Amino acid sequence: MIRFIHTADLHLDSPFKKISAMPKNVVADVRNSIYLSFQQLITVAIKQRVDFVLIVGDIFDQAQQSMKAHMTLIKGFKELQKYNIQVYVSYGNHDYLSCHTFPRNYPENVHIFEKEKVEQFDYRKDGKVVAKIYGFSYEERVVDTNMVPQYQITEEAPYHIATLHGSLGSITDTNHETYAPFQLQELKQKQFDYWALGHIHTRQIISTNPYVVYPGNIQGRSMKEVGDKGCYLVTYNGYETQLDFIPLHTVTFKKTTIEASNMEESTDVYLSLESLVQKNMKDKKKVMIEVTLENTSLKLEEWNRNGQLKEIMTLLNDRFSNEENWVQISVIKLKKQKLPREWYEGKDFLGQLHIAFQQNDKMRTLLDSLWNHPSGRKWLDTISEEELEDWTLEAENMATYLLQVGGEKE
Amino acid sequence: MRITRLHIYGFGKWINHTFDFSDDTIQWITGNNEAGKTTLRQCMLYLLFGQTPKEIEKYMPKQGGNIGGTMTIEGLSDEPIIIERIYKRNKGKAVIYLHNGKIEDEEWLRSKLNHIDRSFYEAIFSFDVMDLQKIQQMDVDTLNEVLLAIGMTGTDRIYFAEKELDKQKQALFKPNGTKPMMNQLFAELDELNIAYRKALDEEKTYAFQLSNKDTIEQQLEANNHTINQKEKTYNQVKLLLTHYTTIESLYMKTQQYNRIDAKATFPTDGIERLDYIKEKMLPIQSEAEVVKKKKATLDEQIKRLSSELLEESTISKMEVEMEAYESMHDKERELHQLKQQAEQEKRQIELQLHQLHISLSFEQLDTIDFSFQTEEEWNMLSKQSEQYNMEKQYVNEEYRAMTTLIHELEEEVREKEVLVASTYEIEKAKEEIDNVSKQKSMQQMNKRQKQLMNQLKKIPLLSIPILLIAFYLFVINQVQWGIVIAMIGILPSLFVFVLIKLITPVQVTYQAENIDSTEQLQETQIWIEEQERMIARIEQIDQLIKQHKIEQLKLSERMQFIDMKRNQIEEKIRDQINHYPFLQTIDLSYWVNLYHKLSRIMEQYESYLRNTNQIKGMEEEITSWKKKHKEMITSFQVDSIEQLRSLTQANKENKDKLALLKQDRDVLTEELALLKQKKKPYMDEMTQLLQEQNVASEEAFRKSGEDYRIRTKLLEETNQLIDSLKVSFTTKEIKSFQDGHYQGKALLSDSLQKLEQDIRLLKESHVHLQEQLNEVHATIIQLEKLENVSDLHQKIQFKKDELATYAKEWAICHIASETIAQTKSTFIAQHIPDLLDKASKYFNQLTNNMYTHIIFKEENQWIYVQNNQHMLFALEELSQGTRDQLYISLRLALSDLFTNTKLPFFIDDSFVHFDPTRKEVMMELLREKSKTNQLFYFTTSTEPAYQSVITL
Repeated sequence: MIRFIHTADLHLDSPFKKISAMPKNVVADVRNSIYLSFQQLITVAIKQRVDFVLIVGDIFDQAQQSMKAHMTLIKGFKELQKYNIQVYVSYGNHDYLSCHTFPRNYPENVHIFEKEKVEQFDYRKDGKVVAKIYGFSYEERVVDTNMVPQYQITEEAPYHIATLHGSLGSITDTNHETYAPFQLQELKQKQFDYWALGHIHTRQIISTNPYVVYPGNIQGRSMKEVGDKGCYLVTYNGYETQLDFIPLHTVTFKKTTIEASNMEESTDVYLSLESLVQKNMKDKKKVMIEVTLENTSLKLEEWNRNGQLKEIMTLLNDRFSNEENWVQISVIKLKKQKLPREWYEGKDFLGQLHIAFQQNDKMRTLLDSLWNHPSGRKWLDTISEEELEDWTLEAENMATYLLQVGGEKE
Repeated sequence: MRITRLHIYGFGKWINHTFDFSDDTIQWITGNNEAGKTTLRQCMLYLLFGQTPKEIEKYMPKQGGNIGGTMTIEGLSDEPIIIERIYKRNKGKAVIYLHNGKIEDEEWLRSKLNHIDRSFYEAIFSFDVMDLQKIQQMDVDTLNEVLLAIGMTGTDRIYFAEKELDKQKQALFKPNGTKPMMNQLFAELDELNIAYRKALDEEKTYAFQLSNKDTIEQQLEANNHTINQKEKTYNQVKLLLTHYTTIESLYMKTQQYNRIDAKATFPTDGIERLDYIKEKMLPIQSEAEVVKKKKATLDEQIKRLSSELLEESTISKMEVEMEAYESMHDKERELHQLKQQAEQEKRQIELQLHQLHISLSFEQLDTIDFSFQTEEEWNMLSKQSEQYNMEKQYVNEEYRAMTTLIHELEEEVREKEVLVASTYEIEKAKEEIDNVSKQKSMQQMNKRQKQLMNQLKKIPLLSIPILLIAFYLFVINQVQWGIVIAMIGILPSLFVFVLIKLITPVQVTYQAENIDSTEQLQETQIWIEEQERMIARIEQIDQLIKQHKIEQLKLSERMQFIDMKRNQIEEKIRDQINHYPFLQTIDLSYWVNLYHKLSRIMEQYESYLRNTNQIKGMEEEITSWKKKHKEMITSFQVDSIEQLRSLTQANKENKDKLALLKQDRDVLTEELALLKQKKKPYMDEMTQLLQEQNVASEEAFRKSGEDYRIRTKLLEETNQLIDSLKVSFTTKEIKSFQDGHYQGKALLSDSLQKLEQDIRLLKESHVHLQEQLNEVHATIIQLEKLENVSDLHQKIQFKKDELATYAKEWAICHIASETIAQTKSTFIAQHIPDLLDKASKYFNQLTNNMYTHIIFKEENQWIYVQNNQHMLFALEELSQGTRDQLYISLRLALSDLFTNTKLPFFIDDSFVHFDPTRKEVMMELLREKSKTNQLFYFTTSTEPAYQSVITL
């Protein structure tokens, strides 16, 4: 029997976005969450008495690693060494070999794929080879060739595991660049028993025969990475492979929507959000929620503009931050009511304005003066399509609000 | 849409109050300031559209109670409806009571109002005094913008919205600014980034420190090792100095011992035993010397004779050569005989050739090459030549006879042709004979016609009885039958009559041409037959001539063929003569005979040639042998075969002499062997002694005995010294001392001092390295605890988040302002002409036709007005009153353009400062407008008492 943990994309020491306004203890908890999740991973490996742990790329978040991340990793590996648990590590596009800040002074139970060429390690039990583990590491940030043809079974072994940090051709994920691309059919033709993938942060079992698995990352880092996060515990009993998902995250990122058409007063918003927070408190987990108020009226737009909504959010966040399992609202988004029919006809100015917002496909170019500014280029992230869409909607809300309710008056 | 009734539960000063509005179009509501006009207007708008809590709470009745009321409206549905809206009830939403008792909600109302919201409604349908006051205070640029904005939305909000957005953008970011929030954040981020890079560099020293630690640890280990080594050496040197005298003595003794080249053992009483053996061996040795000398003399003689003897192989070669000489001598005799025979054969052939008398010599025979077919060929040429000569003669004669025959026939034809008449004459004679024959046949035919006529003339007589029968029928009144029968009787008679008339002239013609010429006809007949015979003969002869000429042509062709064949034969004969020139003078018929004779001569000639070749071969063989024989004789170092014979004889004699000498020598050898046997026991004993000591001579044996004695003594002394050193040194070390591998005493003392110093220095360095290691170790532990990079990275992220928030705000403002600007431009292009067209009509009316048109110039985005003199005026050139009129015109035009539902206007004392004339014009326009839209006019003025005045 072989038992191992398949994990990837640890992104140790990844900075967290949009938490600066949170209470201090929440910020600390969120920042520490990745390390806690990693410690959970080590604990699970020891408790489950696994034979080995596969870490398929992107252990570190960025090209220049921090000491904290480095030491956490060494500490974890040393703990596994005490229980004779082997670790097979490959590096991905975030922590490619040539960028390493620190020497890889890991204990002897850690086996590293040191080349951008598929190599293999034998995992032995009682002197016999029971599994062969294949893999490679990124030498530079980009590997744009298909590496699958390099994966070849040359010697017999009871179980063949291929580790591969790359993009499956059929997955369209705007959050991840396409690296080491491959097709599912190619993997199926290779006769491996288990394809341990990495790179895509959304957990997914792509195939069960053979198993082709993305375990996702171990801790969500923003509202783009919502839901439970963790690793797969894989057991092979000599006949079949069994997969169990083990959650490792300590902070959950969530998105929710609330109907706001009936909110006449700001207290309605407060009560509604308070109820949402209290409901989530019952889960006994640290939760970060992005709330979208749907069908908002001009009133909500006004409260948003004059800071009332932010006040409500801060009030609630402060109130619930001292709980051990706190629940926090990270952002409140407004989704406007459907526009009146007459507006769509575009007869009056507002109607025409609406059409202009709907039909303008050069919004991105409009923003060049900031995003192409030397400092803008340096410090601002590229605008995603989703963001641009949101902002256009918000811009329309703002323009409509100003044209209806009034802007600055002299 | 018309509002017919308003019941207020409570709204500001109005509590439980009902207003009924008459059917008249303009609803004049008058009252002094603070009478509640504006509150009433706000209440009506509240009931229609609702209001924000903040705004509505301003109208909370002082005495308490509900804010709200009901409003009865016509024109929104088929039947009047009642809208009820009460603040804080039904979440402030309206309830609509329909005439049929059904209740509808706010959404129903909004759909009936075409989804117009309050702000849009107010922008178009609500006027108050503030609107005009506001535009009066504006500078011209702002006014132009505001008027444009009003033209587009009915309000000035576009202008202010754009201003507001621009202000927000400026506060957030300026491309070259330092103060806006984002510019400040950029600077802060740059600073943080520098700190972050610094922290990274700091953490990067970790790798260096780790490697440093490894290096120091290695150095420490190496240092430790060196100290140990040095201390060990120091102790050794010290020990050496202590035992120095003993070591030196050991070395000296060992050197002495090594210098003596003695064996480890020596035979017991070896020298004495050697002396005894020597005494016994002396007499035997003397006798043996004499025998040896004799034997040496004999050996000398044998050696000399042996060297003189020829080798057996040379002897056998000489014998072979002598035999070969005899054999070659026989061969020379045979050659001579063969030469004589060949000469005789040649003479015979020459004689035969001479007898033939042809031009062929003995030497030319070599050139003759008769083939197997030569005889056949000569024979065939002779026969064919004869045959073709005969044939030619015969064909020539035939040809001449044929020529004579043709000539005779041609002569006969010429004679006959003179006698024959021409073809025309013969044809004419034949024609005459034909004419005579025709005349005869005509005479016979006339005879037959005459007989027929006589018979025909009898037919009309048959008609008479028939006519009589017809007459009878007429008489008995059978007229029809009578006519038919009469016709039958008359028609044959008519037919016969006509026929006789036609035949009669022919008879006359033939009778005139009848001639008699029988005699002439016979003569002509005979002449014609004669002529035809002659013509036939001429044709026959022509045919014969033709045949003979063909025959003649054939003979001519045959003659050509024979000539050709003869030429070919001639050619072949010439070829033969060319090949065999001796045939030139000989007739072809004798060639075959000649062939037979020459063949016999050729056979003899071939025999001669064979002999000649044999002679040549033998001559060559003899010459070659003689050459070899000469060389061989020379190799035996003799001059002739006779000398060779005497040499072999002398060699045989020497061989016999040598055999006798060898017998004598064998006797002496036996004697020597006997003496040796006597000496052997003594020699064996002495050899055994020398072998035991492994020496070759007696002297060496004696020396070895002496050396053995001295060495044994030195060994004992050395062993004593080694025993004393063994306490302090290893066997290996003692061995090296014996080999002299130790330093001198002075050097050892110096080394000891130097080692002491080295060890001290090394220990000091060790302490220093240990301190360094501790320091590096501490640094590593400290570095491993560092979280600076992590913290700074998160800090940068916080700042980036902040920046992203501002960037988003800026982006939203920017998108909003840019889109508004873009829409403005589109909107103006699309709607302004239409709007200005409508507004121009109102403006014209309001200004009593003074201004006819409102014009918008795209090039500078500016509004102008044109007067009835077609002059253009910019806004700054207009009076305040005209500007107000322009504003009102645009608002009214907008209400026409953008709403289908005819909603009520609310005009709140807007024209209070108009002069009476202008006001009257305005009122007139409003009255017209009120025909389509209900119009509520709130005013303080009480002057004109209009219908339906509600005084508050």
